[in-house]
Amino acid sequence: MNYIRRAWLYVTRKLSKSILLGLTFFAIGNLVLIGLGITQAASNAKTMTRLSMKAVVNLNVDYQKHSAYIDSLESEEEKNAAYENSPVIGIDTVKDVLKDKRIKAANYLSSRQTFSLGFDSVLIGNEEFREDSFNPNGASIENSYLQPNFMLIGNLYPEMIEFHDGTCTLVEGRFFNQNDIENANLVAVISKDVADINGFTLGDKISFRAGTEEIIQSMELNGLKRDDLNREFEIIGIYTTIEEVDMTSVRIAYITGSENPKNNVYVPLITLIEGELVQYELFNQYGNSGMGTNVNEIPLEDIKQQMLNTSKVNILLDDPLKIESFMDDYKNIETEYIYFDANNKQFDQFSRPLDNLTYFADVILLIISITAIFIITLITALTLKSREFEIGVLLSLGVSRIKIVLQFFVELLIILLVSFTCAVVTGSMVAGKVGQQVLENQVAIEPEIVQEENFKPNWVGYKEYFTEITQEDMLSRYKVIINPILILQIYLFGIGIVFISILVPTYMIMKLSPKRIMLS
Amino acid sequence: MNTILKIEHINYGYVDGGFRREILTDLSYEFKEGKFYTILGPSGSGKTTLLSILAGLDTQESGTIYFQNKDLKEIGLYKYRRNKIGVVFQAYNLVQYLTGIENIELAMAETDNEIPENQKEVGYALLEKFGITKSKANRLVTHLSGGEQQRIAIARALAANVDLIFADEPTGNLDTATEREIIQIFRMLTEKFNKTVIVVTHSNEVSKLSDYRVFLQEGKLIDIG
Repeated sequence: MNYIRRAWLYVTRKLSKSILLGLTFFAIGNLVLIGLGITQAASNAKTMTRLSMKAVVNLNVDYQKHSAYIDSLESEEEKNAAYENSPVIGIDTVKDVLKDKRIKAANYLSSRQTFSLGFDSVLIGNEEFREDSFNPNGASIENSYLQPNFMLIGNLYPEMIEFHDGTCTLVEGRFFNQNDIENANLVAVISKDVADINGFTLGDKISFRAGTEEIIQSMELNGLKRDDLNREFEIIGIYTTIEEVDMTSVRIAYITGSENPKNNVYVPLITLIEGELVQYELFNQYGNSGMGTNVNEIPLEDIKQQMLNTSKVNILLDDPLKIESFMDDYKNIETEYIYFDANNKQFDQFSRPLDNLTYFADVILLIISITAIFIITLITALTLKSREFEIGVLLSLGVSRIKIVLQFFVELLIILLVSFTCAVVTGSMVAGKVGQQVLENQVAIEPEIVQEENFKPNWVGYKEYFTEITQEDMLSRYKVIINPILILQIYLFGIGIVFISILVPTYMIMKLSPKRIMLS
Repeated sequence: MNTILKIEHINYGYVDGGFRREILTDLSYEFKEGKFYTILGPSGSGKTTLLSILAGLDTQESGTIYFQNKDLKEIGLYKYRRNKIGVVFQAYNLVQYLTGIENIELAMAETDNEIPENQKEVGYALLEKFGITKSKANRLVTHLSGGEQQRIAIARALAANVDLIFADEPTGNLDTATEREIIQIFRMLTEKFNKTVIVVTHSNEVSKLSDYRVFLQEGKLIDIG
């Protein structure tokens, strides 16, 4: 007869003791189930909300903070120095970050309005009533062609968020790759609308030029060859976009062709900057607008570096649940004015009732654990006293102390399994209701969240890409469900309690002297 | 005749109220195989202490105990109790939530000695020899009389197929008639099964029927025939 059979016989034949202990376990089981259920439901609600959000992490420059710092400075000299050393995000800052395998897409953008040469842009629909603000004399110019009609958008990463979040879809060809970026290849991805109205296909060349006709003509007087300003690109991809110009916008009378999302032309960032540099030199050489003041004193490479700097990098990860670890891994690039933002502030604010609930449930679990350990230890120790005689008999028969301890452990385990199984049935009926009630109470005492009406520009390079969430959405995902994992957790919790509870009795058994028991 | 148990220069004592009390002093003795011994002596002479040391339930301060010429320390106390000896107590000491047959099975399961595979049947047969029927063997031991429990205790002591049985006042809780029956069982064990039985007792009835009577006084064992 091994210790497992002895344990079974003890449990089944000492029914009153077993039932008493079983009721204790049953009560513990129900409370544990409620506690773990609440914790898991809160965690699930947060996880599901996270999963419903885009896995976007933005690296930002906190200009507001920097401005406040400048304002706090007393002398003009210090202020000027601070302006000159305004924080920026450079390629070197994010070089390692952008190599991370968790990144699905990234926007390290720079954009330039530009003029098409010999082909049309997609009209907005405001051309009839547009007031062109470009006119330096303040008067309206009827010829809309004088306004930049395309937007060249350069990206440092070969995958753009817009092509992964459903905004844009590549329908023909390919997007530029790392090789195109590194070699500043003159390749471009244009919209299907532009391709259709101009009859473009993959491999065709398109040209753009910076500067209005008026400026170019004045520079020609200084010796500029206008073709030197042209930038020719090969079409390597064609995309469609769901973005439209907002015809209800208060700015509709001022929106130019370059602001039409269908007129966005995606090019490698280095290509864009190299072209910009050429134009920059030409403007300085032939222009008379004064924009090139002291330019000869600044090395071209420095200007290039400045052009490559940005104030925001948007990163889309392959999994929303990796956001925290991603930010932790690159914490070292954060400075006083450069920081990661994953919309955590809002997320944390919305999840506060759930966090409080989790805290409450964890405290309950801790109290239950400690109480349960005390109760079970006490019951076992007291039972042990009444079973000293039996232990003595077993020891006199040569049964090892370990086997005696194991018998006690198995006895508790049998009762625990039966009681916890009953608790799973009853607990699953009450856990949901209790959890929901506690959450409602928690929400009721939470201060109302006042949404900050921050200015959110929609300009290229300033988008946040965050998914808008509401607290209602998050809380509606809170559901206490008794699933197999939770049940397994409860049993493991119980086994853990039994294991700890048996430690004191084990010590007592180890100290027992068979002679004293048997011959007293 | 072979010696089954030999004790050499055993000493045992304890400190009580600041004074050391010697219980066993330089005790030496040899127990022969297949004999029935009774250890007699006044209360407090150390009979039970001696028995507990011989049964491996306690250890002597000095001296050596040999079982079949092997030092007990070499055998190990757990193994010794499990495989070499059986102990019968005044209070029967059966596991109370088990039936008679289950108590027998318990001893059989623990020993390393060779036990037939049909343990239950062997157990019933063993109990039958001691007058315990199958129906009684299947009852919880708490539902049996003192005499029946003691018989089961003796059967359990034998169940592990051991050669040496210790008993501490085995008839102390029994009436005279049952006492006689138990003594007859001990006699049968030595005569028919060549077992050695060492009994600590106050009872003259028991000692009269033993092969050897040993008197323990002032820490010394004296053979009194």
